[in-house]
Amino acid sequence: MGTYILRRLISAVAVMMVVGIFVFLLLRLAPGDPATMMAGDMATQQMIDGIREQLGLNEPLPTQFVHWALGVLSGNIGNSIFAGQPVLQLISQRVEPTISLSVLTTILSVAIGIVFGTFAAWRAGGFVDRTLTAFSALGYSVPVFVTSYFLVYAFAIKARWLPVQGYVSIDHGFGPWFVQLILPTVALSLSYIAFIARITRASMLEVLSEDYMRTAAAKGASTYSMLFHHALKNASAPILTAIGISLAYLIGGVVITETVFNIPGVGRLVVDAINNRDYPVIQGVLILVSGLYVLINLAVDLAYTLVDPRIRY
Amino acid sequence: MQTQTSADDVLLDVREIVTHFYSENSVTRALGGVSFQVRAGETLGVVGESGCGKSVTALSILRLLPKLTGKIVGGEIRFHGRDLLKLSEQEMRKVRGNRIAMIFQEPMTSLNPVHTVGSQIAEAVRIHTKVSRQDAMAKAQEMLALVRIADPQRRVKNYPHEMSGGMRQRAMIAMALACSPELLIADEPTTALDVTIQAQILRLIVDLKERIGTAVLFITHDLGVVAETCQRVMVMYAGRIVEEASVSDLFARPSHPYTQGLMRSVPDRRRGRRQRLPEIPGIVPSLRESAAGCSFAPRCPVAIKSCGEAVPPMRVVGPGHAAACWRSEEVMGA
Amino acid sequence: MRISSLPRLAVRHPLVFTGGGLLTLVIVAALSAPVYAGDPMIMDPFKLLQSPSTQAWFGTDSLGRNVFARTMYGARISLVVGLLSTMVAALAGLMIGVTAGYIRSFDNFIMRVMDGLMSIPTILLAIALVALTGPGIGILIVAIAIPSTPSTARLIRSVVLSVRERPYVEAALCGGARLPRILWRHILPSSIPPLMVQSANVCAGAILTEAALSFLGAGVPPSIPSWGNMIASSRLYLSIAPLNLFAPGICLAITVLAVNLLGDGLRDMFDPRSKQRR
Repeated sequence: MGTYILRRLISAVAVMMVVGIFVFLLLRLAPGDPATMMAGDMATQQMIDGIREQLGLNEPLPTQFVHWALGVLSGNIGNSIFAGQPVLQLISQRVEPTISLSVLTTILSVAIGIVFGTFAAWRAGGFVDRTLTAFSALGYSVPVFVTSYFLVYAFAIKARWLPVQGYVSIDHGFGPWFVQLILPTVALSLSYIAFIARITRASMLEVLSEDYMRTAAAKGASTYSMLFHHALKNASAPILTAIGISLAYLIGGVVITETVFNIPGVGRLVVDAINNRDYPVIQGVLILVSGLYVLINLAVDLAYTLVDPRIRY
Repeated sequence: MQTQTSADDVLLDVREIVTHFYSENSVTRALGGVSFQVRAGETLGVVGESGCGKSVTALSILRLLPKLTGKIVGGEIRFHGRDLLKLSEQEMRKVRGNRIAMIFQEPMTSLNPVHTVGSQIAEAVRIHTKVSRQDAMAKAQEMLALVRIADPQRRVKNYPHEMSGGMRQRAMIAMALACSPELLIADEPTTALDVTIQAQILRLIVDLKERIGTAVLFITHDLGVVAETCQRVMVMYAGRIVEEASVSDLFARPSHPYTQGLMRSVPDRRRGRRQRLPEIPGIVPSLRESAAGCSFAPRCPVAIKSCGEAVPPMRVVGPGHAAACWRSEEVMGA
Repeated sequence: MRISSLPRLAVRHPLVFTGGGLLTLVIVAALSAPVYAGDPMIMDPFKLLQSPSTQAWFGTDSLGRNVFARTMYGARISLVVGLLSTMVAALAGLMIGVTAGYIRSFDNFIMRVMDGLMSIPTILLAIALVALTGPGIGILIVAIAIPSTPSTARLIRSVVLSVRERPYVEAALCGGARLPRILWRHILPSSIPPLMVQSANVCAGAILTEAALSFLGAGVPPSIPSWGNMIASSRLYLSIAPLNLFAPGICLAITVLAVNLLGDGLRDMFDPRSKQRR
């Protein structure tokens, strides 16, 4: 077990190094002069030189890399050109709405996805199953911003049940916070629900035809116990993988959803950085998110051992 | 040995059950009207080649057929006089594992790999009786001791993959007997095991049956096993019962040519157990098309023209002995 | 394919038929837009945010442009970016996958690099590239192709590894057949079916990513009529002119649906067992 975790950690570090080198080279090898690009259309030569200096672009490449890598390792993932603040500080100011949205979306997607997929598998070919097929075709095909605007149009503009956009911090109470997040969470969840439900269905379908399910039935186990006590735990490894993948893809959806609903989170920080041509901010978020992705993968691998006693590392 | 019994100690009375399997474009008539009775406390053997409908009979009784493809289309299964086919699913669940329990052929795959053996036995107890979790686990441990698993305190906490095949089958038996069922259906419980382990498991089933007083429906393809375990036996062929007798009568006077074929091909244990009936020529007929006459006729060494024209009914050929063959008398004498 | 075989395709592979049909329709509509759709660029300051009319079937946008024309022309951007980035990713994935599967000493290194690339979210990577170089179709294609490549490379690598083990390939190797020949005769034919299925997935993702990036302002320049741009510029008028937003939105969904259906259908066609499993 210990050696396995160690091996996984080493490979995680290797992956992070690849990401680091890639992100580092991206700036240096991009066509054109990034400093000019970032300075914008109205830039003077002095401003361009300033940015060049700040990014350390004047030094030889290996020196730049060592400086940059040491900085990243010590927690300095760069400074915003536009705001002048450290990127980490900017992110920490914006992290609450993003975490709120991500956590709610994950809870909703996992809960509904698993239940939906389980019942679809239980009566394969039945009504729930066919609903899932149609639902997932839509979930995979309708982009999150189109879904979002449809929900806004239907529930906020026409029906006036929910606020159109914006964010209220949880400091102002759970109710207002939650009401603000309903539409963005639902919009963002749909494709993940489809994904998790499809994987759950496929995995459950395989498990339901196993001999031990017949044994459970012969014991007189109830349908609920058959599905959720006997089958789900056996079917959970692919579902865990699917949840891990969903979490990794979540950030892309968060960027879009925050833009649609005007939520001042990390995603908006990135989008604002596009307009301000503030590359260090984008780079900082990129590194953090990739690191998170690697950690999530590690966590998923370790979670396998919790659900399946046969897996021993 | 009980051969003569009155009607009221009949535990299970299966009458003319017909079970079909459906696929996209065909119907397989797996059981073509099977009738038999199991009396309280007796051991009834069911023998036949694979595919003859032995397991389907067992699954039909517990209504555990694959729900999308299998269906019981006719007949009655009376348990204590009550037709199981008329029970609601919820009522049926109270029968399964409680009054009728079942053990399966593959101990390697029949236990849930992600739960401990102890909790799986305890679950059977908790489904049917109101006991605390601890009491159920204590019962599980007691059951493991009963099926002679050494060190039951430790074994209750084991997962199935930590046990050998023989031990898992013992655990399956412990689970099946945990609620002291009146009927135990054992579907080839020793087929997947090593020869030495087979004998131990057989002895265990016979012993426990005596102690608990459970009736056993013992399904096997092995006449040798029948001789060791059963009082009465029925022979199945192509979804029908072709002969029924006490074990001693069957071996002394086999009255169906198929039974005789089976006897001649009883596998010699010293040569290995996987040899199945090599001496009956031909193959089991496809159950998709319904034949007009006796389904064994194409393979039968003594078939005459009329055998292909009408299905022979079960006819009494001796006390407690019946066979479905137009030529039983000639066959018996042969 | 002959016209006469279409009914049979519809019966035996309905997903391929529906998906392929819808996609053909979108492609034809995009290519022939100049014939029927009108001019997507002309602004008419006297006809802002109008409701649908015989001149402008989907109404006009906030600059008085014909929404129907812009929607039809918008298909071009989606298709070009989707198809080209899929081709780039397929080619790169094929080359990397074959190298990793064939030259074992490179395998570990290449696959770790692919893991690294996979751990970078597509949208963020594309945003980073666009922020460095400025918006443009070329950079967009590269930005979408890079994160799509690792999954293709992994797939091809696994095909190569399994094909290598087959007796006839081993025999060919022993017989002195050279690498290009093995590639051409054995590995490529086995790779094509899974590659097509994979590419359909990549293509659907690419079309979605292009639209998302344009929507966020990191895609094609705003003046070009792309579905993402149109949705971004019409969001302020959602309550008064919803069609401005939903026309491109629904077309986008239909196009992605078509590609997804085609991909699912191809998978069932190449691997009939997958149909039951799904």
